[in-house]
Parts: sequence; C-alpha cells; structure tokens
Amino acid sequence: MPDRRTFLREIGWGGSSLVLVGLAGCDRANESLLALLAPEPEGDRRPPDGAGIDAVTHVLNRVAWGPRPGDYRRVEGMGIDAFIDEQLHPETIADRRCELRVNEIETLQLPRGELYECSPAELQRDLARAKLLRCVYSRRQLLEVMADFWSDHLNIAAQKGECRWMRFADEREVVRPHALGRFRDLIRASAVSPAMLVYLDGHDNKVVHPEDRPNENYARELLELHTLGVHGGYTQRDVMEAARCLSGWTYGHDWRRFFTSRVAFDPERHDRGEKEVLGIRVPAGGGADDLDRLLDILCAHPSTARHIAAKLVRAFVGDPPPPGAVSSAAAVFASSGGDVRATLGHLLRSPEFAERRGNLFKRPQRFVVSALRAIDARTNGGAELVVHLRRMGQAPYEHPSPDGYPLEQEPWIATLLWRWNFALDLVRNRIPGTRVDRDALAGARPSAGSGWDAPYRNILGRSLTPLEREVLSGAGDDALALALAAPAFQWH
Amino acid sequence: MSSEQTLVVVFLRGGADGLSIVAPVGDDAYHRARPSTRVAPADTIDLDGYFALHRALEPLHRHFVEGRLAILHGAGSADTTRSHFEAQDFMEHAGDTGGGWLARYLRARGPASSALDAVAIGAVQPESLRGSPGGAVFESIREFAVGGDDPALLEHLARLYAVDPGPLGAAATVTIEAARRLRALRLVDEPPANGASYPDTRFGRGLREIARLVKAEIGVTATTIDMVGGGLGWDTHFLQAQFVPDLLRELGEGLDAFWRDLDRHRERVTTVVMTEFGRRVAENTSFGTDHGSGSVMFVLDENVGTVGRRPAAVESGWRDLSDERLVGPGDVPVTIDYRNVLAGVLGRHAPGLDPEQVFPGLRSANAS
Repeated sequence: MPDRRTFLREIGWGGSSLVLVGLAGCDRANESLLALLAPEPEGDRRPPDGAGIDAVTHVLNRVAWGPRPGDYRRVEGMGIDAFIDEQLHPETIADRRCELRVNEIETLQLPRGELYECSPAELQRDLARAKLLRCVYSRRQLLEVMADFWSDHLNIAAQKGECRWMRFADEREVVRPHALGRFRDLIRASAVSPAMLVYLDGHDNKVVHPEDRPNENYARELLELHTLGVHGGYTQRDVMEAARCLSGWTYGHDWRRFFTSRVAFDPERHDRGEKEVLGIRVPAGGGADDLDRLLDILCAHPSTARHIAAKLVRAFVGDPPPPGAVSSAAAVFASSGGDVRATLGHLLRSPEFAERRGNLFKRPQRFVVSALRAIDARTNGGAELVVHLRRMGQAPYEHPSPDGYPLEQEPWIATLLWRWNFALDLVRNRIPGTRVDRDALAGARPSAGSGWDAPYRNILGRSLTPLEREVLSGAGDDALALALAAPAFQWH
Repeated sequence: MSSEQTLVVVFLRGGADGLSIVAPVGDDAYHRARPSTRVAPADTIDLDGYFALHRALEPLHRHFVEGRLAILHGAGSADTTRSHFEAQDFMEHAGDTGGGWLARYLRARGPASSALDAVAIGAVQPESLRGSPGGAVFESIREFAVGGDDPALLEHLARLYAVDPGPLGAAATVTIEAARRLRALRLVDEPPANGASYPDTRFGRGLREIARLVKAEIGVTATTIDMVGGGLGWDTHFLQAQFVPDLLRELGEGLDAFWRDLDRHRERVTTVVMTEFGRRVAENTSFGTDHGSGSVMFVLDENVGTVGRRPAAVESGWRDLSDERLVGPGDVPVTIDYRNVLAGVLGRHAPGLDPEQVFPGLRSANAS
C-alpha cells in the first residue's frame, strides 16, 4: 500500500505511481496483483498555473474522460499529437489493468444464447458496471468515449422484450468493435443485431401479401437518427420504401434449445417488388441484398456525412457546432468512405478543437467519471454509483427512446443539485463500493499551508480565480467536494 | 383561498394512439382498418354515439359527464416529420423558435417570483421550459436537499455560482432557492386527501408530488410531467392491443387520484394531457400502428367552459374515417391546433395575456 505521501504527490504535490486504497476481499488481492503487473512511471511535474485551461488538460478533457493523476505528465511528455495518435489506435495500447478488472464480470464472456439464463437486472447491472469501469480505468480512453457516443447514437432501451438480454450483446458485437472503424460496418452490424431487430420491430417487419403494410419503425429511425438526420432530405415515402427493403429479417430464440439465438432472412416475408429510395432504384428480386443496397444509399448520402460530422463536432468541439468544423469533418467523412478514425483524427487536430476549451457542459456520466478520475477514487462501478447517475438523468443504458441521451447542454443544466450531492457523498466516502483516500484528501485542505491549491489546479486545469481561492480556503473539509461541485468542474 | 393558478402539463411521450383512447366505434372504417388493434365496442363507454372512451379510462368518465373533462379529437401540430423527437420539440417549442412555450409563458407573466414558478417532475428539463427564468426539476420533494441541509454549503455554492452570468448561474440560483423553500415541505408528508390512491409508478408518484406543491400554495405556476408508461410505452408499433389497456389504466387512475387529492384546491388547477402525434389509421403487419398525425388531448378543469372548451362533448373536426378524409399516408387529420387549446387555458390563468407572446404566429395561422 502506498502511503499518504504518495497520494499527495499524485494529486498535486508531484507525480507518482498509481494510488491504491484498500478495498475489501478479492478486490484488494487483485489490486496488489495489478500493481505488480503494471507499475506506472515515476516523475514530477508542476500543476497547471495558467489563467485558462492549458492544452494538455484540454485534450484529456475531450479525448479522455478527464485527466487522472499521472495522465497530465504522460501526455506532456509524449506530446499532444502523439497522444491523439495513440488513442486513435486503441489496439496498440496495453490495457491489462482495466481488462483484468472488467474480466471479473463473468457475463461479459457469455455467448448470446447463454445470456438468456441470466436475469435481465443482472445483465443491466453488469453492462453499466463494465462501462463505468472502462471509462474510469481504461487507457483506451478515446475508444470508451466513442463507444459511449455510438451507444447513444444507436440507443436501444433494454426494457423491451428480448432487448432485456440482447442489449448486452449489442454493446460488444456492434458498438465496441466498430467504434473507431467504418461507419457503414457499424450500421450494417446494428441492422442485423438481435437487440435492434427487436427494439425497433425489424424482426416483425414483414410483407406476405402485396397489400401488406410493413412495420416502418426501424426504417424511420435508420433514416432519421442513424444516417441522414431528420432534415436530411428524405420523405415519408422514402421511409416506407426503406421499410419494404428491410422486410423479411427475423430474429429467433429457441427456448427449448437454450443456446440458440439466430438472425435470419426469410424470403417469404420479404417484399420482392422494386423500390425507390431517395431517388435511387432498388431492383425487384434483390432479396436479402436489399439491405446492403439500402445501406449503400444511406451511408454514402451527403446528409449522412453532415449528420454524423455535426454530432461528432457537438460532442468534441462545441455546441452549437461551429459550421466550419462540421463542413470540414463531413468532407473527411465522405472522402474516407465513412472512416470514423480518419474523421476524428481530422477533428482533433483542427483549429476549432484546439481553440474551444472548457465550453462543453459535462453530461452527468462525464461529470461523475471525470470526478472519480480527478481525485483517483477507487470504484467497483456498482449499483450505488448508478443510483447517483439515475438521479442526474443519465444512468447507463437507461435512456427510454432511440435517440439516446441528448448531446445538447440545456436539458442537463437542471441537474446541479444531484451533482453537488454526488461530490459531497464521494468525498465523504458515502458511496458504497467507491472509496477515496480520506487521509490523503485531508492534506488538500486549505490549512495545509502554501501550495495547498495544487490539487485544485490539477482538477480544473488552470489556476484558481480569487473567488475560488477564497471560497475553498474557507470551506474546511468540504473544499474538495466544493471544487468538484463548482461551476468550473461542470465544463470540459 | 389563494387565487394562484397552476397549470399541469402531462405529456404522453411516444405518440399515443387517439383512436384507442377515445375510439370512433361508430365508424365502420375504423373497424375495417384495425382488425387486431381496434377497441371493441364492448370494451368502451359510449360518449356520443360515435366516440367511446376506452374502458380502461373508466375513472375519467364521470369527469366528462360532470362537465370538467374536455376531450379534443384531432388535436396536433403542423409538424410533418412524423419523428418523435422533432414533433415533441416542435410542440414544446411551439414552432421553430428557440425556447419553450412554457418558458415564454412564465416570462410573459413578468419577472419570476420564485424558484418554484415552474416545476418539472423528472430528471431533466423538458423542452417546453427551455429558456425559462425559473424552473426546478426533481422527482421527489423529499430528496431535494443539498448535503443534508447544511446552510454553510449552500452559501459556498451560491458564491461560487453567483459569478456565472449564463444559464448555469441561473440554474444554481433556482436550485439553491428551491432547496431552501422546499425544506418545510420535506418535513411533512401527509397522506393524499379523500383516500386518493395513485398508481405506484413514476407518473403516479410524480402527480402526487405536484398535488403536494399545489396544496402548499407556494406559487407554482406551471408543472410538467411525462408519462412514458411501462412496457413499450405509447410507441405501439407492435402488438398494440396488448399494451394499451395498462397504459390507459395508469393514466386514468393517476389523473383521477390527482383530482381527488387536490380537494379544495381543484378550482386553481388545470390539467392538460397531450402527445406529439397520433398513429396511422390502418394497422401494420405486426399488429401495431405507425406514426400518424392527429390525436387526442384532454383538458381537466373544474370549469372547463372557462378555458374555451365545450363541457361534456367530444370536440373533433372529423367524424368520418373513410379514406378520402385521411391525410398523408392515411392519418387522422389535425383539425384542432393544440396551441389554441393551450391558449384558452392560459387565457384563464393569466387574463390579459396576449397568446402571441407565447405562441408566435398563432393569430395568422388561425386567420388562414
């Protein structure tokens, strides 16, 4: 166990190795093992002292879920550009510590069919836990930021029918493998994902008789939310034609044979006639290939490039998204054939990204994760943490409609009370399953003498304003909680 | 008794099927278009020979008969995207304008008198309150406290946020004031009046909190609450007939319990129930219905005539579902602009208010 001094160095009195706070039972054993496996480098650095957020903190605020102790030093050392490059290639980043932690969640490895043997509540809890652990601990931070982004973009409410089990598989089979890959591959995987087929009724979109009216639920959201965007230039007729293209896909789970879970195309339920989507003919008799023809049309459409670019810019640069950044990102998206990595690489190196710092309001999940990272809290990502997120309106995987949690700031502004209470509960160690080193934090009290503000400078990425200095220095034991509750920490 | 008025806006998110809520059972075209999703006459309560109330809404029937429930059929907006999110925003902003209609209403009434001018029951601020001068958001009064009611903490937070000139600073001011004002209310938890029994759902519990706020007479002008519903909610693309009764039961029991619980405060409250759009007349091949246009709106008010609606009558601009009367891909037409319904209510709550201030463009829309 590192001592108090180590922790103090870590959060502001100089850099150091990872900090371990005792947890009960096997977690502690695993921690010791982890510490042996992956010691972090030693070193020293000065906390930020500029009037505004410095460039290193900025990139950690956006490319990652906020800086953890040690991150600043590492990025400063390797250079911002190299850090962005590294994060764009998560497959090159060793992440054993996080993987070991996440692999303790046994359900993550279960094949689709076996998921049905678990209780939906257990799966929901495990999925949220995996997300929170990865966001807090993974070194593949951009992957986790993007997995969260696509998970919202392709949201599936887990309450509906077999989504209660298959939502779980969607995350690992659709969202994560394609998070930094090709957009069309992502959408293709989503289109035939069991959870999506159930959630938006695609599995029951059928045309048996020529006069049948196919269920247009998925077709509409595919155009409106997943690809073109609501003002992307499609009509009600395009929605109905897309629904015809998509008719015939099914998902079946055989309850008598526990391990059977199957997506299939049934030509008897498919509309064989000719279709026309967005002015492009889809010839009769295409069968299952209609899906790929439709996705070719949608994914290559200029509205899709603009829609996805605008969302990425909103998430990474500013809200409302600066038009110049959207156009240039859309151009890269289009010319690269929908390459998410290339589009992001362009965006993260754009002047619009570099210039706009601290202007995005943190959504609750980012607020919580960035707070845990900032003060190096230990967490098991469990239900007690999710309770706090639920009060703030952003419990993982609980958004009830296909649009995902909003990226805009306005809906979240009314969540301050719960943010303040989270900060207080966190620092006072009142969240079961999540611990901060109270002894070490005591040293961040303003009474600790000169330089007491160093941890706060690390948390905010800049020096304190006179008002912040005054308020925090008079807040005693609550100073650290107030720093996390302060307006400055609500932005990234 | 206080003269303050409270408007309660219940939003059924997902596009509720007006044809199941108040079914046109007197129309053969309805039964033809809905072989699996129609409400059978035996499952309804007749209202006027053509329209009939779904039996699961039985608790609302007496309010209709006794002249305090207005039913508007064919209500909706001019949105044509048939997108939930677009149609909800369009309705809650009341046009392609920046802020929400309730926010404009609160501003038009004058400077915010308290942080609790508006209360949204839920976790996040609804679009109707976007840009609002006040507006606290919570699900339960009891939980609305900072760090165990430590006044020093609130003081520190107030100082830190006071320098924020934007919406965040305003939100902090509202939050701090609301926490202070709700303190007294948190400590008392009287049972609902008249034996009112709310559904044990987010919606039911939320309505109960609204009743507590109204009864406390602390100046709540407008409140919003969503009913998403269990199961699949209102977005019934699939196996509609299986899910609708439970949704309607929750809605009807909730509204009735709310009315009972309000007791002597009923005269001060108007409750409006709305949804972003109705559903297609003809059902799809998965025994559900897709996104449509006109749907049903309710106004529950002791003197519903004073908000400009006819008591004990179903108002609709249509009584015929034959194909030539339908619009778009086969939808119930929007014959009642939802803004006019709301404007009538605001006219009673804020006499002298110009509806244009809340619904810009309404006058010219009505003239055309």
